[in-house]
Amino acid sequence: MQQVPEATASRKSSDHLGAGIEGVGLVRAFGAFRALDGVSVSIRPGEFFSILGPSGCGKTTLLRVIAGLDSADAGSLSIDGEEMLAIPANKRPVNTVFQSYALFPHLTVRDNVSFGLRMKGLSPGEVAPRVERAMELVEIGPMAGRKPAQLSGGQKQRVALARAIVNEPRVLLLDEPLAALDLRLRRQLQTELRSLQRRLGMTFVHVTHDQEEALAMSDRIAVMNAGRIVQVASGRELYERPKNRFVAQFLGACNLIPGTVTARAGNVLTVATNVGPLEVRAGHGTLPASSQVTLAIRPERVRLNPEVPGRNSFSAELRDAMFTGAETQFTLSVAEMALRAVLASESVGAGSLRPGSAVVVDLPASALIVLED
Amino acid sequence: MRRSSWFNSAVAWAVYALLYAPIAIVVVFSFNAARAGMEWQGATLDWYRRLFVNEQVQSALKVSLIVAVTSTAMAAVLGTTLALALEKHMRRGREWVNGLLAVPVFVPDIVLAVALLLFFGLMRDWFKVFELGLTTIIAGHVTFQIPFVAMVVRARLAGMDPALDEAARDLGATSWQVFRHVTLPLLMPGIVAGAMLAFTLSLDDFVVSFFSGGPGSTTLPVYIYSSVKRGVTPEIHALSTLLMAVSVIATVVAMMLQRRDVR
Ligand SMILES: Nc1ncnc2c1ncn2[C@@H]1O[C@H](COP(=O)(O)OP(=O)(O)O)[C@@H](O)[C@H]1O
Ligand SMILES: [Mg+2]
Repeated sequence: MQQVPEATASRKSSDHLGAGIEGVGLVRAFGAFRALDGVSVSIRPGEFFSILGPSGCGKTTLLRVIAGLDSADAGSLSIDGEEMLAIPANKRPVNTVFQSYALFPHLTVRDNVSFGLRMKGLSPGEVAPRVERAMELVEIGPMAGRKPAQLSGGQKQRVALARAIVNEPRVLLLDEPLAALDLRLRRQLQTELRSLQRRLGMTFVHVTHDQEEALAMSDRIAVMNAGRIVQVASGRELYERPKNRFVAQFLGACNLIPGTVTARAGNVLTVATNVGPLEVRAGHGTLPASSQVTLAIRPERVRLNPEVPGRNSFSAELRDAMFTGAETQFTLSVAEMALRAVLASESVGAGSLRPGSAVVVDLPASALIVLED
Repeated sequence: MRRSSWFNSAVAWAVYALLYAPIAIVVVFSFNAARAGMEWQGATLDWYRRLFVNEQVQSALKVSLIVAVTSTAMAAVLGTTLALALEKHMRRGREWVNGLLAVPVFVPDIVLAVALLLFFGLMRDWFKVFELGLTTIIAGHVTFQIPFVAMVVRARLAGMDPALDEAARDLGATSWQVFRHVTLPLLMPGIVAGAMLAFTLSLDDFVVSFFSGGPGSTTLPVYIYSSVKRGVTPEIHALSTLLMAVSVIATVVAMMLQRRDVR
């Protein structure tokens, strides 16, 4: 997308900051089924906020409730401190980029983009320059005279984006905006969307089921499951400190090791597991002795044949090694338990790590996460 | 395989011949110079020329056009409103109303005509407008046109992406603006197609016009019927040919409009 002159960009971000959103206990039921089952979420002004979750978990429903296209059965929603649930969609300071784009098929690209401003009754003299600027920003100027049917998927996506941002909403909602595009275009548009958001200073609420996309684009991510928000944090924190099994497994691969707390010494827990006794750093919350826990460790944090064995080192058998390019993936068995490990291929010496060989596996205390369930 | 396909197409051609032969004969004889009889005596446009100076034809044409234009306009508005109400607002009993909508399409014209006559007769006791004449013909035509318009418009509505409505609201449009700038333009080809159909139905209608008409409200088909009683003339062939041409053109345009994509 186009480089905006510095002056315009700074003017924009100063007098057009995004709004904060506060949702409390939002419920949306379809019959007996609760698509939103008490969602509370706090979105900061001007942040790139992603809602990540599997298909059918209620992401679109949450976005529709924020936009006013669907109503909530309970809870409250405010944008910039102003209560929203009683305000109809056409009066909210919010615009949406729809999953299906929903471009008006009977209007040209230009008339699609100008739609919102025209409906607000702005004069043609005011509308035209803003429309041209928005079309330039997403590089669809040359397509201004075309109908949506004559555009490619990526171009439609850009038109949908221009049609929304031209209204300078305080909040932009994006429902899986890139899901219909091929991988290469998706990666490119991820970068463009991110920089667009930084430049415009709007609050972006972005829905996706693609964890890589959420990690790559967002300031913060809300992980959603079955109508509830499970955890809200930055991508890095979600990855390194997942709260429970769902988050741990939804964001990347993870080894899960069930166990029982046997002792607590200050900040260090000892957990009896099938692998053996593991020393773990206790997180938040108190875990009395003999409580059941699940420990998680990312495959790339598992160490093989460490130079100095630690307290959490065990002998294991290497079952399988799979070369996948930059990385090599290993399957180990430690006392009947299967563990996965990933090493950078260049660090794997030729010959030493062959299926069937005996290795020492180390699960560093700093890499072990105590999950809530 | 070959043989049976040859046979099939032969049958198809025979059926087509049967369907179109009478029509073809009317068209051919509208250009025949002979005043009477089935003998070809050379081509002429005389019969067409005479139509334009025949005062009775002129006045019947005027009545037909007034009836067709007025009733079509009313049916287009009412049929579209009905379709919108059915598609957007009626949740319960939609299947029922749908079925009811199709009934007038299948009811024999004669039954509808008699029912209307009865209805107009009852209403006449209170309202003078139901005196048989132009008004009652128009009312009768609107009655059978509405279901056709409503069905064509509904088909188009059903194919419309509901997200478009929402997108418009999301962009700040009021309900009226959504209707005016999104729903109506997208429905327009359907409404025009339905109106074209309604127009030809009105133009071609004989039974309802015959029953609900009065003195001074003779439509073209009714005029043709009364002339034929005095003997079929080449002038009637010419008139029928013109009527048919208008109907065919309107129907083809309607079909082309309906085929245009919604999305
Ligand atoms: N209008 C509706 N009527 C009934 N169920 C619905 C409706 N809209 C959504 N749902 C259900 O609510 C759940 C959440 O839907 P949605 O928010 O679209 O999920 P997501 O966008 O996360 O894939 C789904 O199980 C879906 O079937
Ligand atoms: Mg969705």
